[in-house]
Amino acid sequence: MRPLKGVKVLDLTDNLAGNLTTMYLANFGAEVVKVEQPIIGDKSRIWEPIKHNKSVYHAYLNRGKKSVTLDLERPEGLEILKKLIEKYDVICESFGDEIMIKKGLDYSQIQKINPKIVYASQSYFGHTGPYKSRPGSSCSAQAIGVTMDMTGVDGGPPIKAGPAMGEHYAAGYLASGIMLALIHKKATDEGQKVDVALLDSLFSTIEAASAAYSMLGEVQTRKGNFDPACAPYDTFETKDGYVAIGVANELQWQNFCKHVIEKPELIEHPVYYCNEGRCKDYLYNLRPILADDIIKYSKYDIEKKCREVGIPSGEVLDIPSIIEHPHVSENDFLTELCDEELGDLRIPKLPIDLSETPGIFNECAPSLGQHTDDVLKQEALLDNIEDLKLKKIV
Amino acid sequence: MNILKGVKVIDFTHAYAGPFTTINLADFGAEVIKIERHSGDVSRGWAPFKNDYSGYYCSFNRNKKSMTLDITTEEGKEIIFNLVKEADIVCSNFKAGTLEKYGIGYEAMKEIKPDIIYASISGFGDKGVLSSFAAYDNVIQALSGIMDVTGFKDGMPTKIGPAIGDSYTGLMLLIGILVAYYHKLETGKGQKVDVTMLGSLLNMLDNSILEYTGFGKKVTRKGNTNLHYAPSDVYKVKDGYLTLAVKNDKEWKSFCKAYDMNELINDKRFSSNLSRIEHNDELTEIIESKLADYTRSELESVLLHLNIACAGVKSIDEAFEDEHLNARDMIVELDDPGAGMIKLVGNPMKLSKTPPVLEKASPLLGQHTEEILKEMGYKQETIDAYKSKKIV
Repeated sequence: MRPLKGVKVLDLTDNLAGNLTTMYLANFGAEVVKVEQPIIGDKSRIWEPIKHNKSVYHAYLNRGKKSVTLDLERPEGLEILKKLIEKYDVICESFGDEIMIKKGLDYSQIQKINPKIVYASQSYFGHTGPYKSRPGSSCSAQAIGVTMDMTGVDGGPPIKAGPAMGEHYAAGYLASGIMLALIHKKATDEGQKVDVALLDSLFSTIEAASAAYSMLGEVQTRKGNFDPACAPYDTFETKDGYVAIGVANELQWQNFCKHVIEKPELIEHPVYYCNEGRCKDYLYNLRPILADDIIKYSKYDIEKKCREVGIPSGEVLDIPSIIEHPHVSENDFLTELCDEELGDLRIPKLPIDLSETPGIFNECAPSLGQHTDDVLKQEALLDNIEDLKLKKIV
Repeated sequence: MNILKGVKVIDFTHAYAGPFTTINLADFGAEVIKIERHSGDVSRGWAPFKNDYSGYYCSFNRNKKSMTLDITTEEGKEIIFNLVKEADIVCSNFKAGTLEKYGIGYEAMKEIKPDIIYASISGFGDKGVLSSFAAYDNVIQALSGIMDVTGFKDGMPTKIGPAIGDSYTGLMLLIGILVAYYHKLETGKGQKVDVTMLGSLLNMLDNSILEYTGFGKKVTRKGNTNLHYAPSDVYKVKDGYLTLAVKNDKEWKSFCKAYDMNELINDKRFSSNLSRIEHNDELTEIIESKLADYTRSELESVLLHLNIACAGVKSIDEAFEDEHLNARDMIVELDDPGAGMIKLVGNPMKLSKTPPVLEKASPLLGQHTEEILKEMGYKQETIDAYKSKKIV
């Protein structure tokens, strides 16, 4: 049995974080019905990468969901949506409060139609607070959320995260928030609104930077690849690429000096013998000593020597190299995409492994409107679908 | 009302990844009992410090209880089993196999509590060539490809500053636990929930992986630019850095007009989104020279008025003053028993009827040991004896 079997989700989202959220729910068996604008469909249907005129990203993000077309720009479409809302457990949206109010679909309106519904909203800045109507982007959320200031090289400009970091955190939080609200609903029969912002989600990842500032007035900012709290915890250049090394205690440091860089004299060094000294004098003095030595070796040699003495280490791999790495196939981190037109294609599997009720990660994504007839006839009790189709309302 | 009131979590997590999961359970009312050895969670030794007390620990253990326990002793193990009998969830982030070694792995716990949810985080999983190695955030960021895709194209691979290898994995485990708990409410059945750091970061790289598996295309770092529209970058301005995103021609025209760049509107290099992407390097140079004399807030007020997404890059001290983050309760103040008054990051899950409750600070080491043992029915003499033998 799938854990979320019987949970019915109406999915109005058309952005990355929203699509990811409902994908997680669908992976675990929720019935996710995506409501899409007729003819155009969800924005993600044209997202790159594209193969045979079809979005691979869409096929990935919408696995296991159903698709219903419905024109929410017209009153007839909105009426049908409201009929659906009566019968669903969760509604998920990413339009923003202003648009939802205009359509009469904000939480206070929806609550009247279905008081038990979980109303989940995803946006850049959230539905409350002074920025709620501010135009947003992934980069501006990273900029205000401090993660950008904390990424990059000492003295250099701030750097945005390579992957869509904010969207992935926001999706994780929104899926968790929906689960919490469903648990509450089960106990009390009460619905509520879940409001998750990209900005808040990013800000929640800044580790102990808030504590350091509020306790000591210390502003933790970007420091390249090294860690302010332990050293050497950094990425170094080798003969043939880069390698990351994490020395986080004294035993690791001693082993590092003896067996990795073969400079045992550093163990007894008056400053570097302890972590505090290593951290204080790291960037301009200790680091160059280590870097000069490490660059003589290959990244594989350094990685191997570190691991042999219990120091976490890993070469900087590019995406093709990690995807072809034997460990990835040994652990089934990837699965096959289900799509006849797109052909065999490996995709990341959701990394959540449930022993008794595993997720299903290779279901197909729906074609536009594939389930319109089924869902509308069954849930909205419509008998005039052909007529609605002619008018392009569905 | 707290959603998870009455849900009991036996929490073996330490450092950052696991505590990130359980803080989210604790914020919504679960009773999280943190089992610490006598030396305490390793993060009690991590900077920043005030009064010799770790602000790192304070950041991720609010709303939890702390119990000291030596799980290698028979008596300690018995206490664990008695706790687990009454618990719903067990959570850990040791290297794969550690709890099994002490006889308190999933199989043993299932014997005494068949419907337990047993949740764990490991670096690499229990299979495969890397499974026996310990993992730190920077190592996972290196191996996963995240470092390779972060940074400037002519610069070195860059770690995302915050330890996302930990927190994102913790967030994935949270989803798993909540789904498993929901299933338990439906069916009465427990199960094991496993999450790996490497698998989690690969999940975050989804689109770049599809580019490779579908097209053999290698995505690598490209600085702060956007693949889909330009100009979208981070620019050095008078008092720091500003990011902005011009998403279409209409925004481009109003941007040019606002900053005395009218001649660019008809410049062939910049007349369409595609050509702007192609000539982005030149474009960045021009824009930077035009914006250099303005401050972040001057630029924000003009650009936001034009409906162009933008933001000055904020450092933590500036974020603490940010009216929006404050209005959203993303900065909370707690009176910590070790560190004193401390401002911490709030919880991003804003539930209207059952919001996260952020009232209790992180516990001192072993602060609740006695209270918990008494609740379990242990007599004062036994507790004292265990204390003197360093079992608790």
